[in-house]
Amino acid sequence: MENKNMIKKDSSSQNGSVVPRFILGIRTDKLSCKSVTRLLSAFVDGELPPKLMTKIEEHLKGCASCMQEKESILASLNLLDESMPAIEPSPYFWSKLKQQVLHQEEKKKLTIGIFGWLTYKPATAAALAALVIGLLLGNFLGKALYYPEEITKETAYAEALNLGVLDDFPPGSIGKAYVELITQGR
Amino acid sequence: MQESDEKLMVRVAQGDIAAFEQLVNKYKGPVLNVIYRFIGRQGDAEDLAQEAFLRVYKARNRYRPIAKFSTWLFRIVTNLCLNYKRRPESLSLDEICVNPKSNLPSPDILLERDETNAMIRAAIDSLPRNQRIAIILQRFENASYKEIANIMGVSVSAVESLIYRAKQTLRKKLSPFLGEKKSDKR
Repeated sequence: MENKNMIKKDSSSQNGSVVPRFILGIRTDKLSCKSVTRLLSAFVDGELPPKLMTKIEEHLKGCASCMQEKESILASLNLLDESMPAIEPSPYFWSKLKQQVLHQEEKKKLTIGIFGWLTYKPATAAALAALVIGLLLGNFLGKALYYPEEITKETAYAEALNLGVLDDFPPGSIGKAYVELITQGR
Repeated sequence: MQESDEKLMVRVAQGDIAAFEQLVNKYKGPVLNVIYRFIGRQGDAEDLAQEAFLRVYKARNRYRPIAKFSTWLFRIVTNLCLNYKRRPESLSLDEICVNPKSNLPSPDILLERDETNAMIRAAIDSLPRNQRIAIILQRFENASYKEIANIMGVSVSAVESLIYRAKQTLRKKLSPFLGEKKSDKR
C-alpha cells in the first residue's frame, strides 16, 4: 500500500513529525472522545499522520468506550472481508476477450480499407462522391419541382358537368372557332 | 526484469496483442473481483470485466504513460460499475431468499453461512454506489485514499467521508448480526 496518511497534510507535516492542527475539521491538539470517534475510520485504515495515530492509540488505551467503538468497526469490516471471498476468472477469459479484440480489429481494418482505397484512387473517389451527390440532388429536385395534378373524383365530376362538351362544336375545336368568327359581326 | 504496466501499454498502443495479454493476465483477477463485489453476480461480473478490458483496448491510443496504468484501468472499471444496470430477469441470492416462486431452497434450508453472506450482500447493496465502490477499493484492493481519489476523480477528504459513511451504515445494518456472532463465540 502506498501513499498512506494523505489526509490534509501541510508542508510541515509531510514526514509526520508535526500533526496538522485540524484534520477533517477536527482539532487534533485536544482529542475528545467525539473527535476520536470521528477519526477512527481513517485510523483503522492507517490513513492518518503517524503522530496522530500514536495520539489516538494512547487515547484508546485509556478509553473503554472509544476502544469498543474501534472494535465494533473492525468486527463489521472483518465480517465484510469474510463474506466476500475472491472469485477466479473463467479459464476462457483471455480467449473470449481475444476474440472480441480481433473482431474489433477486423472492423477497424475494413473501415480503414475502404477509406484507404478511396484515398489511393482520388479520381474514383471523386466520381463516386459526384454520383452520390447527383443522385441525392436529382431525387430532391424531382420531388421539389414536379407535382403532378392529382385527378380526384371531384375534378372528374366537375369536368363531366362542363356542359360545353355537349355543344355541336366542343370548346377549342376548329368548328367552334369558325362559329365564333362568323358570329362576331352580329 | 518484468516490464512495467506503462511500457506494456505503450506496446499495446502499437498493436502488440501479446503485451495486452500480459496486462489482462495480471489484472483480470483484481478487476473481476472489484466488479463482482460491487454488483454481487458472478456471470454479470465476468461480462463487465471483459467489457472493461475491451474499453482499455479501444482507448489504447488515448493512454498517456504519465498516468499510472492501474489508476486508469480502475477508473474505467469504476465508471462501468457506477453505470451498471441490473438485469431484471436475473436474481441475486438475497432476492431468491424472498422470492416464493423460486425453485431453490427456502431461507431456512439455506446454510447459515450463505444466509449471512446474503445479509451482508444486502447491506452492501444498500450503500450509495460511490460509497460502495470506495469501500470495495479500500478493503479489497488495498488502495490508499489518494489512489481512490485519483480513480474516482474526487478529493482525498471526499473519499474519507465516503468511506466513513459507508462504515457507519454497514455497522448499523450488521449490528444485530455482530451481536449474534459475539454470543456464538462465548
